[in-house]
Amino acid sequence: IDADEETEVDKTAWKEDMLKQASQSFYDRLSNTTSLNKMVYGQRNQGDQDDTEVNEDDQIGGLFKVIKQNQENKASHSAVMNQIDSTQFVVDKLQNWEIEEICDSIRDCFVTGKWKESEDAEALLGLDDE
Amino acid sequence: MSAATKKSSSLLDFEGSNFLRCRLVLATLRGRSIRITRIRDQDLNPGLREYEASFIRLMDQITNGSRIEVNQTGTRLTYQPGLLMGGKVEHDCNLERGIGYFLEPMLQLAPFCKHPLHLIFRGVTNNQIDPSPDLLRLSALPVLKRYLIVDEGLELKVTKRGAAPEGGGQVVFKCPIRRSFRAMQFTDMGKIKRIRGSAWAARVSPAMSNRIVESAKGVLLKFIPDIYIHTDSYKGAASGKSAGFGLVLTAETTTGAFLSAEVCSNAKGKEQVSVPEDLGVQGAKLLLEEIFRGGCVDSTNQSLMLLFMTLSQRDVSKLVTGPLSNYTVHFLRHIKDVFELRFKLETHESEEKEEGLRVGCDKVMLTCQGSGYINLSKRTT
Repeated sequence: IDADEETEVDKTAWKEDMLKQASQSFYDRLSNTTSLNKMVYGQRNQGDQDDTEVNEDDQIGGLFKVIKQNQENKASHSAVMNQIDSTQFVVDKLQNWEIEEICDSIRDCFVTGKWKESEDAEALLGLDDE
Repeated sequence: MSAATKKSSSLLDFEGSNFLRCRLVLATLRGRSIRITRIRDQDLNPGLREYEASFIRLMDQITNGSRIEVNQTGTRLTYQPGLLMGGKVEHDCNLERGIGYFLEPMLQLAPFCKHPLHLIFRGVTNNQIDPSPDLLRLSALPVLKRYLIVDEGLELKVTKRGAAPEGGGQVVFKCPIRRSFRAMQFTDMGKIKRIRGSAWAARVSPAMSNRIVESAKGVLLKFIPDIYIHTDSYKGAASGKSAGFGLVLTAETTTGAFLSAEVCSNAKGKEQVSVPEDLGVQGAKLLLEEIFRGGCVDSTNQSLMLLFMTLSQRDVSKLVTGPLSNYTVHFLRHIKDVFELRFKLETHESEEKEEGLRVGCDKVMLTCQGSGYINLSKRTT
């Protein structure tokens, strides 16, 4: 029974790890300089490209690439085009906030956490009380 | 994405039903005509929905001289903006969407009207896809206040609760006007000093709200001791037409940033009935997730703050937010289309990060130069 339990724990740990990585890479994509710029403004340039006729260089040299870009662009475009208009931040799956490790990842967001060196915690808390 | 923007003609082209609100808002502020085509053209039920028509009527009410044309199937819309008048406006919001759907664009437009806006909305105050008026009061009003500087005459009040699907709620929103906005830099998120919130219950036992509070506190007390969630139970005429309960939470930081999250019970008629305890825990976890994302404004209000940055005087504005929401990504594209203004987007390299503090995920720094918008209808005195 002991061995069984152990593998059970192993299994869930492995799953948790994967979930954690998934949510991390999801957020990374939305806060990383290059991917953000590409997401917000980059695709747009590709979009412009498919509106103005395919120019000759692309037709000869990079034909394969251009088509792929267009398809990708169209797919993402039509997917979002008629979606529900809502400002909500949609997350597929919340992180597991039951786990101590994940809770610890935001500890220092609170006044009770660690402060950066340039800010004297005592002094600030004093101001807060006033 | 959507737009095949043709810079030569004065008409801006967009496609699809999504982002209707932000398109109309931006077009109005910029004074540019827009055309939206292919509105649900592949759908079995094509064209604009009732709630969108309701929003268009609202835009017509607060402006003067707007021309809106919709074709017979409702798949194509042209909008020629008029002047933002404001004043006292009453609107019965379509029940398919919450009042938040109508309120969000009004928060964006209100400071630039000719007369201070005094809105009375009737409809659904709480559902599961739109921010409730409570959430907007807790986290969007602080953003507005930051720009209005003097917040006299700013008010957002739920006078009657009205859960989905039948609504019956009422919300009052008042906002003063300004001639222009100062450019602002808001890059220090500070640290969360307290958590506030309110649990509401309408047409169900008042004990429901207490049960929500207990379970939400159970989760949050592990992080910070200063938590106060007050309970609101609505009775009689103030409780609307449908039963429901829910919770709004907001975390306030030392620098005046507000991060908020909310939950609302399943609407009547859905198969599963919500359990208050589960809902409370869910709400608390959503707040933790929001804190994990972090930033100086929460994910719901990213677009509001970014719009104000776009409109502010020709100075550099900076803002640090959490990862951008999908809505914000598209909002930025629309700003580029309509205002021809690009933001500089980069990963924020904070001191906290360097010192290895545990402050959630990476943040985004957004920088832009304001477009120097001036509200010409406001008299200078």
